Amino acid sequence: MAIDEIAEEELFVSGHRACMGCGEAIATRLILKTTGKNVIVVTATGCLETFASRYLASPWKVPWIHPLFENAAAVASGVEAALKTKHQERVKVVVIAGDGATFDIGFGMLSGMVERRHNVLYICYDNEAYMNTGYQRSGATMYGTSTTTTPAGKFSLGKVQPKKDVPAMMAANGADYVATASVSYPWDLVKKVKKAVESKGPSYIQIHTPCPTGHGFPENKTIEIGRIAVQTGLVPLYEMEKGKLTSSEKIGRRKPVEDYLKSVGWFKHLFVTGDGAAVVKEIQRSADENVAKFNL
Amino acid sequence: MGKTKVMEISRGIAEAIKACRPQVISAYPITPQTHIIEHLAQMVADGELDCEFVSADSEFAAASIVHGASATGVRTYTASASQGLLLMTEVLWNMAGTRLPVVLTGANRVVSAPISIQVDHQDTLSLRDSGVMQMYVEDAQEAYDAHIQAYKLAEDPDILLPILVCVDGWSLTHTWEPIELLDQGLVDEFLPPYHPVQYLTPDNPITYGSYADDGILMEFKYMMHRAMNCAKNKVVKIVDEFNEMCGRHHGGLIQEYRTDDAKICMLAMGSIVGTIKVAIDEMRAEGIKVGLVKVRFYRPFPADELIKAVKNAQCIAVIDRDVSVGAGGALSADVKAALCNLSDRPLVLGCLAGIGGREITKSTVRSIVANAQRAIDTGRVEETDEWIGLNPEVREG
Amino acid sequence: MKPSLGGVVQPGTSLQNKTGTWRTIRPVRKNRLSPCRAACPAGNDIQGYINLIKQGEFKEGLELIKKTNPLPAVLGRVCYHPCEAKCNRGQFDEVIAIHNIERFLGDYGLTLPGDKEVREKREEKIAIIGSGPAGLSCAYHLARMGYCVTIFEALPVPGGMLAVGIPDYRLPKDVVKAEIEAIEALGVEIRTNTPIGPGDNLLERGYRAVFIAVGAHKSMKMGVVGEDKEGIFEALSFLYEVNLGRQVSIGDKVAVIGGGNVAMDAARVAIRQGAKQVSIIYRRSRAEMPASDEEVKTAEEEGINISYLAAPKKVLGDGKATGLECIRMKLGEPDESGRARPIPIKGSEFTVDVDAVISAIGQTPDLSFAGKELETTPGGTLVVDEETLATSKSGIFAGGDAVTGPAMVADAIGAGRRAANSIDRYVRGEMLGVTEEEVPIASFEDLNLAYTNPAPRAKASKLPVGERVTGFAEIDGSFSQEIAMTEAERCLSCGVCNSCGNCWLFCPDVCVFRKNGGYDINYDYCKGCGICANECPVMAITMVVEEK
Repeated sequence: MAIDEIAEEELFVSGHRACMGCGEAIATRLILKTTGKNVIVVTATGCLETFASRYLASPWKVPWIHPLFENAAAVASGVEAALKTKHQERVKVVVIAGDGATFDIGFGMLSGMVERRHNVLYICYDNEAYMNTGYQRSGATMYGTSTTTTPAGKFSLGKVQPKKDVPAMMAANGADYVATASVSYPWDLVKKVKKAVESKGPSYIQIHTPCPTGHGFPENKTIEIGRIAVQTGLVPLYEMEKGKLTSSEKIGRRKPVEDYLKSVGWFKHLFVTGDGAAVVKEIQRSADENVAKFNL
Repeated sequence: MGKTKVMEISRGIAEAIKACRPQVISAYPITPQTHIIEHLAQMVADGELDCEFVSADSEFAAASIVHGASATGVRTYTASASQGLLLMTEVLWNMAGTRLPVVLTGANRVVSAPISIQVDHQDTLSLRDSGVMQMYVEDAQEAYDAHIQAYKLAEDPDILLPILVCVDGWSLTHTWEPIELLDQGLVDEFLPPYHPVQYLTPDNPITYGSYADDGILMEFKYMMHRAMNCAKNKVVKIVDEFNEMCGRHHGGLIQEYRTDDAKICMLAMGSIVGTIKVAIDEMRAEGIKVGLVKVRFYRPFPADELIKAVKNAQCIAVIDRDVSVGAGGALSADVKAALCNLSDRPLVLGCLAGIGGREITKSTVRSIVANAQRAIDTGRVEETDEWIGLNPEVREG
Repeated sequence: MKPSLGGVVQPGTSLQNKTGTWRTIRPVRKNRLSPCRAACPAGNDIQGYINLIKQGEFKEGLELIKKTNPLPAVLGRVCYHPCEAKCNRGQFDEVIAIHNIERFLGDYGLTLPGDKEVREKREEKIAIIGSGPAGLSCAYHLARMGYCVTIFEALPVPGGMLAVGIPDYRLPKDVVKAEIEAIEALGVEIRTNTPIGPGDNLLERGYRAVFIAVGAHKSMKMGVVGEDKEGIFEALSFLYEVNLGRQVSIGDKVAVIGGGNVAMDAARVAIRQGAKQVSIIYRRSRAEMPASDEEVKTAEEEGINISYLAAPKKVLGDGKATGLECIRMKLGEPDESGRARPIPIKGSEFTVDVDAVISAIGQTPDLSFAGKELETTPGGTLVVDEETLATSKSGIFAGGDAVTGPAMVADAIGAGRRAANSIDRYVRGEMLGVTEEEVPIASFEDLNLAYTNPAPRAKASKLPVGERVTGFAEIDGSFSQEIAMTEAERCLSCGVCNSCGNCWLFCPDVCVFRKNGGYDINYDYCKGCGICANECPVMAITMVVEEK
């Protein structure tokens, strides 16, 4: 894909208050360049909503609504129903919500939206924690991560549960199109958003968006870190259509998980004492599992 | 004008909603509102009602769905009760702050625990701070008429706030009574199509739900407060217009019943008003100067109208089918607050009655009136709030 | 101000919030020097013309290369491409085929009609002595500046070494002719058969300045007994004769003495002249041999035998050479050239049967025409100021092999341009020396190669070995347009923004915008996160501490 195939018009403009190097901001801009202006966007409470909706300072140039933390999917369902009655189905409803809102508090409503088969594209930007409130763990946090609510300590090596597999759950829920993407692979992201916009049923895309502030890496490395994460197999990029795996992005030269874990601050506790080695081993095993499962 | 039929009041409410031509309805079942939404679903299935009917996965979702639909500029409806209404709480506050004119039916029911499906007013009254208007209906016809009035009120460009039409569970929702259904043409004339001032559309990309800091948030709240107070005048206009259209008047913000020379005035909301009116007629025949103020609108709170209606009474007995645990009845608290600065004010008896579905009979009314008389005679009120008919065993120990 | 209904906010109002105040460091768009360009003695903007070819803009690419090199078709055939030695792509997979791409561009230029641009003429006349690459380059640039240029050429044909030194199988004469004609079409007059002597004072003959570009055409003597016997040739004279179309009989067994490119050429021409057995004798080892690896390899492919660590001692035969007595050498301490001094091994003499011996041990400039006026080095080359190319006499400049001794054609081309700029400043009365800003070179470590996929280097066709020695047909083939464009895609554009768009794509604060085919940064909003600099594949963005 050539750079001039990406639309020039900015539908998400400067002046927002995202942290320097914010992965979400990059993803949101790319999403809107792909959808174009014929959308209505619903965003749950979270980083994106907070940095992008101060009173009298909105960076959005598309119609946008922030309702509450847990109900973006339901509000989007209502918007879609209203558009249907107005015979304006060409306007696409897009949710852009964080992993906290999607994996945890809003999961039930997301499931309801998909089950009712609303024509809504639900995009979850996954920075793997409740970043806006200070990096607390969410269902999206990976095993072994030290967050403020699963901190590494004398008796703890971080989160003990694995990451919830929401894309699989969405596929099982009946979403027509499910995809995972990464902000470090923009062409792949754009292709997937385009496909989802054209779908006439519920679709779900989960975009890995590294967070310099929360994950602990220098703010100029966001794209680089995201790339390393994908190259380890920890962030598999794939598509599922009507419940079946239809594509996956091959990794090529795979990196060991240490390359990622050592670059990101909230895993550094795994390399201080020997106890961390078992956790690293398990993380490597999960990466290997992804590679096998998704044929990466 | 219309056809009168005997029907379950829930059916009547559904007919009212149908006549108002909502474009998106969301629904989640909970006793005792479920019949309303079932009727609406059938109407949609039979092509009688052209709208998107969305079966939500919870009340939170149901409220969110109409929030989203209303923000997209269409007329909406949902209904709930009790637990469901409480689950909607966050969204109702959000709707009010976003100034969306959603109409909801609150089929009044006990809030657990303990769990009960019987009627009291705890569920809707717990939402009194939210910015949602509240009106309480007395009978079958009013249940029908009030919903049509509610849309007109909520959608007024000077108001634009959501409204709860509170209908007592079981005693109203599940009772069969004759209801006159208005001709569609009349309703259309009274309630034109909804033209939103602003809404979500790519043609005018506005941002909803922004973050407001301490420099401006109070002003937002004030604007809401002012809008709701502005509703007071609008209510009077609307009910007069409605009366002109079909000759029915259930009251405006309040309805006064035999209050002119009443020494004792009762205040109540909901279906018990009917029982009280019958009791009052009997007592009047016996020479007891007793009257009733039916509080029709609880939010906005009609303080001025109430003062005017009761200022000549010697004692007011306020019936609360709720209790703010640790304080007292919600209605009586607002009444007392309205009266407290008057130099010459009646005594106020707070009566906690009918909680948990306990019946309020004519004899209950008579005993309350007797208590009021006792207060007038002694010149003071014994208890701030009296739990009417409470099992005396519970008081001891 | 009254709050809006429902807290609604108008689109794009965040633009009033100038987040540029958050910065402590800022990204600065600043191209670095590509290593290829830094290595090119002519100063060609290699990245620039390759980028244009990538987009199919051949005409623009030609215009660009002709800013520094008027002879791309020639150089695309004869240059030893020091650029490729420094090409960063070599550390990723294979270096870019810059040499072949230059040739493609030069050949493309030969298909186009001539330069029709009308230039404002200046009245000053400039004289150039020598029509080799240095003289031609100087003339070209001066003519483009509007000067009236006359080149005095002693030989009957213009081109210097290009015409009479380099054989056709490396550089066909019609290519040289065509590129020289393009220079003449700018109004440059070349007077062949017009040598300049000690009595000719060009400055007094109305020329405002003179550029000496006589090259190094005087062969050095071997210094062996019998050097003046029949059958002993000087390499350059031998090549001259062949290049001017005259047959030279050298017999069957030929020994070529020397290890430079001239020696290789002499040997390969000897084969084509019919010699059955040609060998090269060189006094040092392969490692010290000045000839390029390519030349050595092709010479060996053509059946030429190279003897290392041997030197001639005596020519045998009566009047005519029949043999050559040589002696084996060993390497000692470095001599003044910096290379190990060859030391004869006593008693190791051996004899080689020969019909002819071609001496190719080195050339020096023939400066007899200048008399004693100009300062020279002990080695016999002209002394000039390194920056301005001015000689010891005011108004006289010099460059090319006459100054450096035998060097590359590209060196001469570069010298010609620098001289032209100097002469222009001299004529205008401006300061001669010009200091240029030091631009750092983009090293391999500077690049972000995440966006590059391995791809094989394109290869041009070559005449099969068997077909080569039968005549003087050009050995190397040319790239087609498709191949040139495909190879151009492999260029990493080291240090020079090629509008890949990564910075624009990845900016979280939407402050990189498109401008004039490239990109620029809106500092009102840039928070200085540095993602643009980190993801720039070519290192054209540097993070700099924000000044308060």
